[in-house]
Amino acid sequence: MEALRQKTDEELATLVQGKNEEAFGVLMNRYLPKLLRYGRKFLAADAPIEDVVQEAFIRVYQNIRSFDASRPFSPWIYRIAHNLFANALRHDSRHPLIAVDLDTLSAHTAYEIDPAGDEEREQAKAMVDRGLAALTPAYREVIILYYLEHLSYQEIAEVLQVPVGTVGIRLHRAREALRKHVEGT
Amino acid sequence: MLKEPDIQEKILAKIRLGSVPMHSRAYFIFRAALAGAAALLVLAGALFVLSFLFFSVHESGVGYLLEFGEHGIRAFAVLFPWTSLLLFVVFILILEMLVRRFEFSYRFPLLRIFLWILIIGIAGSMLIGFTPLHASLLSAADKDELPLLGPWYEQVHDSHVEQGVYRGDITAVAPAYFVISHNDTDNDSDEGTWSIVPPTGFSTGTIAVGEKAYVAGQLKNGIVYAYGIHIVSDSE
Repeated sequence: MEALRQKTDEELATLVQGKNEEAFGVLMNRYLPKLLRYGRKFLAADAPIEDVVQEAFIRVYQNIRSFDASRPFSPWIYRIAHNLFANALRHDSRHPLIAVDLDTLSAHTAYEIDPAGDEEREQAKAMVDRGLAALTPAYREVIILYYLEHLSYQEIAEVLQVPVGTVGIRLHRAREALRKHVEGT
Repeated sequence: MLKEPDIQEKILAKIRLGSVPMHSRAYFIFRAALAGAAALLVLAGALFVLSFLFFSVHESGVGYLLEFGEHGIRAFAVLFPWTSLLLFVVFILILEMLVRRFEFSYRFPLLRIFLWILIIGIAGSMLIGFTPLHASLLSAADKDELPLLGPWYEQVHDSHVEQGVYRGDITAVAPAYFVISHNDTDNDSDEGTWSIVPPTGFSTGTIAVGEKAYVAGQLKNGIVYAYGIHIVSDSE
């Protein structure tokens, strides 16, 4: 078991592809707290988050052989969770998702490279705690993945299946919306 | 509320019981192949429909109406094969949805993918236009030898007389008028003989018997008073 814990996510995923249940247990240990945190921040407080996360891990196990171990595992598992969370939101009429996202229609090169510094991350984190619930799901999610889950632009793009430029513009707008909300309260 | 170890145990128990089957690699390859085949099929459909639209506009002569001024543009709008265009748009939208299923596609904005598909569609259709595909299918349709697509192709030869459009071979030329006649023995509705009075500035001295003419005008007392005439050259 200890030897398994030393392995990278991708190495574990390769073992799971060979039906190694212990390796899957280690992967769950690593990602269960992350996905629960992601779900709790993204979905409504009364949403059945544990059930959705459980479903996410079942999907991970079922579809693990579609994972390409030469690529990072983290965006792949977050992608599965994102799909299920988005479905849960769609079924919740209080938080409908927009069917067509205008941000994905055209390129947004101006925002493609916009790395946040440590200071900015800390400031944003403080704002997130105070105003996350006030954001729309699309903005809320990108903020969670960037500031709380520490995914890169490229990884977020893979999770949400949108161009990297769209991630940049959503983060920019989400930060603005968050700032306005926090300043207004 | 379930605690983290409980969730983990529950999932592992399900796996051990065999109630969570792991899909094989072949399953994913088959799904990807199916999606690829569907995308190719829809692309082929889009190319076929758009190339037919180009062929239909050219073969029916509707495109010449654009040379005939405001009247001609109005007639063009009425006679244009909008159904084919609509079908092409539907194919393109389906193709866009199918392409979005492929992982590479999300890296590009929707509009860019749409433009690529559109460019591929138009270029591919123009290439098909260089082949005798539609001409041979139309010929088969005229002989009632084309099941399913036959009625669709026969529209190309539909009569546009009601919209004031006439086409045929020039059978007689006089200083003030000429006569066109059309009979391609396919028993379609585009057959007939008409006397044409050309618009001001058109000299009948420039035309000869045997040439093909495409005419738009108003029928009054059995004579067509044309507002536009296009003499179809051999290369067309």
